[in-house]
Amino acid sequence: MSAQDGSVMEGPGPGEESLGVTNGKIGMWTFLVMDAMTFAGILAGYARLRWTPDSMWPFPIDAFGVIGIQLTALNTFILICSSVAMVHVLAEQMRGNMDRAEKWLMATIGGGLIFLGIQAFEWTHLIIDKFHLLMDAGYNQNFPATFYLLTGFHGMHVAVGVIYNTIILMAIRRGRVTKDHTSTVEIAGLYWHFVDLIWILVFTFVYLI
Amino acid sequence: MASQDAENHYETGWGWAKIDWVYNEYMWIWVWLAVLTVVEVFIPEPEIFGALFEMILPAVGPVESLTTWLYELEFNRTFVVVSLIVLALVKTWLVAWYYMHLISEKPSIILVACAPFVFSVFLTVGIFPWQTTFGI
Repeated sequence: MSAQDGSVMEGPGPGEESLGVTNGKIGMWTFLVMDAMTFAGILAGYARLRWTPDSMWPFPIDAFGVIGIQLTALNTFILICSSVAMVHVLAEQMRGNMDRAEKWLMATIGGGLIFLGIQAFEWTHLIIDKFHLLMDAGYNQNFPATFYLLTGFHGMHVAVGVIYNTIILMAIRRGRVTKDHTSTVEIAGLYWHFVDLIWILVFTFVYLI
Repeated sequence: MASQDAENHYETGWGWAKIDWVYNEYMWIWVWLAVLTVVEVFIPEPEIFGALFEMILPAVGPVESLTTWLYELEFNRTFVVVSLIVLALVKTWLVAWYYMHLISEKPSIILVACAPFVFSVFLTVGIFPWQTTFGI
């Protein structure tokens, strides 16, 4: 097994693993599965409302405009870059280069913050300039409701991920997370990649279809 | 998942940002995710690229015809919906398989990770408006 295969470098102690997987990783996967089902429920509800005949649901280009979709596509790219930066955090940690791991983690956090900033800008623009015009035009009121629910719930996950990664960064700086604590970084990475994965679906369903 | 970078330059790495771009699988996945995102945006709204080209390229002969073509291009709605869902599933699979390390995980974890997907399929089939859409 290589260093990039996701396995922990130090062997787990007695009682620290189940089914050959560390308890921390099982815990995170269990949480992610539950969270994914929550998102699945919200997305399925969105699809149900969207596909109702005569639902008066606006097409994304009408709702967000050309610039809005371009901006969100850029935001998607930023989150993907942030995700690959997180991969490098673990890779560098496994090499023992904690300085570079720290820099990649800062890039990951930066990506998350830029994502949130662009989303805040977009929300402000939509609230002030856009959605009331759609409502006046007779479009379905469930559209803005489900839009804010989906993107807001995801944005909350990004915010939690930024805080989570910041805590890991502080722990690295204080020497509490070293090259031997790959499991800690790997579990944080699982959460961050999950946030990216969910955004791929939200972006497709809300901004493109 | 071992990259030549990790094997040959274990301590230092090499290339821009100390990444071996050619042999690093993660970077290729990143490139694929970026390309698929561009394709995803292109399929439903080609005019977005028309607007983009208009903005960044000078309006000379061949470019003007390209932007006009992009403005007029429109795909079949069923094709758009199906292709976007397929592309989104491919992208989520790439993230889960490579970035979340499912590729090297135990089968039990892979099965657990598949549970939300199965749940989503049942949920979508269960609440789809069959009656009003297809009369069944």
